[in-house]
Amino acid sequence: MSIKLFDSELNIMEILWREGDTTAKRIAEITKGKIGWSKTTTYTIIKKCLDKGAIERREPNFVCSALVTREQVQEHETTELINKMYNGAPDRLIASLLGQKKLTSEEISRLKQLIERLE
Amino acid sequence: MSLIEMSVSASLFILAVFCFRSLLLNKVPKMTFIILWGVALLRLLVPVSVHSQFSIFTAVNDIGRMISEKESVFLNQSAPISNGGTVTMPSITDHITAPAIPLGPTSSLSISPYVLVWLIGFIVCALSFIIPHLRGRNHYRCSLPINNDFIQQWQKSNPLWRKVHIRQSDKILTPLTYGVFQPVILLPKYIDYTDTKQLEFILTHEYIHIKRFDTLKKWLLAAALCIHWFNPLVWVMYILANRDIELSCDETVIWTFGESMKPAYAMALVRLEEQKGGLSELVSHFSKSSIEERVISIMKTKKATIATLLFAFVIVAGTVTVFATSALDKTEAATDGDMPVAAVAPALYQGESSTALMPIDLTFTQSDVPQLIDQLHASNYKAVYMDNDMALRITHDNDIMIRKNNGTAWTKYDTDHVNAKDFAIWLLKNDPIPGYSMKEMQSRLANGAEVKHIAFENGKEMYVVLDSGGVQIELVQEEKIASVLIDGQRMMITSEVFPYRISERMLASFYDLLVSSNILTKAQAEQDYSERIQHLKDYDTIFTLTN
Repeated sequence: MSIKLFDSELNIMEILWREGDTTAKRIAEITKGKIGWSKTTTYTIIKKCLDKGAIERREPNFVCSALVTREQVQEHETTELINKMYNGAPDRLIASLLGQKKLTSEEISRLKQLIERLE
Repeated sequence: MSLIEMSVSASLFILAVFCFRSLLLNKVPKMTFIILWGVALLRLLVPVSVHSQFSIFTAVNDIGRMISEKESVFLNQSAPISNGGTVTMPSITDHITAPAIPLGPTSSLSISPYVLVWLIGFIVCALSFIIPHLRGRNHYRCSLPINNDFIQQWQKSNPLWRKVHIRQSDKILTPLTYGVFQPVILLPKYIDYTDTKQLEFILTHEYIHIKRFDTLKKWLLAAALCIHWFNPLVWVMYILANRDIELSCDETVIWTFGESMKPAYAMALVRLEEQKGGLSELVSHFSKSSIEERVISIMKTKKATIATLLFAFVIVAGTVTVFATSALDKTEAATDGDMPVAAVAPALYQGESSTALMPIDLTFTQSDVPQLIDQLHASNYKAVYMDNDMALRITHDNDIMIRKNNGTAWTKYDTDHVNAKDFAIWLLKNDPIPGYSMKEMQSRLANGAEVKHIAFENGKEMYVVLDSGGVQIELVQEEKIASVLIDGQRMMITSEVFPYRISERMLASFYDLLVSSNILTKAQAEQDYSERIQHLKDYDTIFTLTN
């Protein structure tokens, strides 16, 4: 079984792999100091890990434990969701109006030629 | 100025900027267009008009005057309280959308369908900005700090007064900056962090955005788009202004690094595009033109010379004077010396001027109707008004109660406050010969009388002057309607434009209202009513009595 995780989720996993079972509160303390996440952000990411089945939680105190090992985890392929949404423009619709879509390889090479020509 | 007027007057300006942009994009510093778009934004968002003799609207007025002498009266007097070169605030009651509709249960049935359609468009537009933005923010919040010596070094040598965080995310493809007050630069995980030149380009570019508050500019543009969503030219402006923000930023990067860096910078830009990968084959035309426009504009960037700067200045000054100002009111400017003129007159009617706003009225003063006025003073009410749509009473606590369409329920009505001094000036200009003593009214206004303003759906307005001496109502009727009122000073009956008629039935129901409000007894009302009818029949030569 392999599981795809984002960097943010991997950071939570790293803590669990390193420290063993940890309460959500403790995880939030660590991430706040190390990464600069707010408590809400950390809890959101823990929730994502739970949803993906990478960790499980136990009461009391919301103790989290890893369900997967380092080897079972793949990096989430960037190409999947990646920012279609925001490129300085506050909105996806507008981003497409402003031309924030991906270029084809032909267009890339055409642009490179254009630069050379104008040089 | 109504929303539509704002939109239309800004459209002409946008069109002018669009033309200049097409002709001169790579010939003048890009900042030129940023300034011009800024002026357009002001026109779209701030309901203030600046008057200038050289405005294109002045020319329109002049032509209009040549064509029709009659029409020029209206064109010339379009702004009753204005001054050459000064800023005039339009009525606060009509700057949002056409006529202001007071909120409250009384008006819930009467929102115009146009306002409703606009509101729906506005909400849809606003949500389509806000929802993806919030969703995006949730992703950015999960970003990670970067441990990169070059970035830390670079940040130290480029201090800003706002603390800038530089973080990394595996959920984005191109670098971006978000946050106006606590800016964060987000770098994609998959860029080459060993390519320090490219990093330097990226960071410089984003820092210029931060320094110039470009995120804020983009939000203001979005706000203008949401408000003026029905205006296609505002969409054009939104797209072009956003591009120009990027182009202007690119230009400054080039000026920072020197012109020799142009190809390297353009190449870095294309490489960033390349790293997005050839996943989606969906390529829009906008995309092609915008990235191509950027590359060409970068390659054509030149150091600004005195000549280009001067040229840019002339364009900005010229376009703004000709297209972004309103016509200078010539007749007004000429007569300014006669009367005190306030530069700012909030909440005073500005649509037309002079007595055109005033009702056609038959007025009985206190000496004509002493019993009526005395009885009013002794009652629970300070004033009573009635027309075909509604009845209005002002209670002793200065509450304004309205009953609509012969219903039975009286509802309290919301009012705006108006500065008494501004109202005094407005009154002198617009109703110089009222049916009461102007001198007395002016002294009441000067001695702390309170002025309330009520706007109704059909353009009808009322100013209510309140002080210890009682209440006085000033009616503003753009369209003349029949009405009857009594206040602390007089009884007034108004009529349509022509023929000047007074309806017996309306008068009778007004007296019924006085009886039901416990102002007159039935006998007093009958007597007073027949006196009024008698007067109209026997002495009045202007008004005709009808059923």
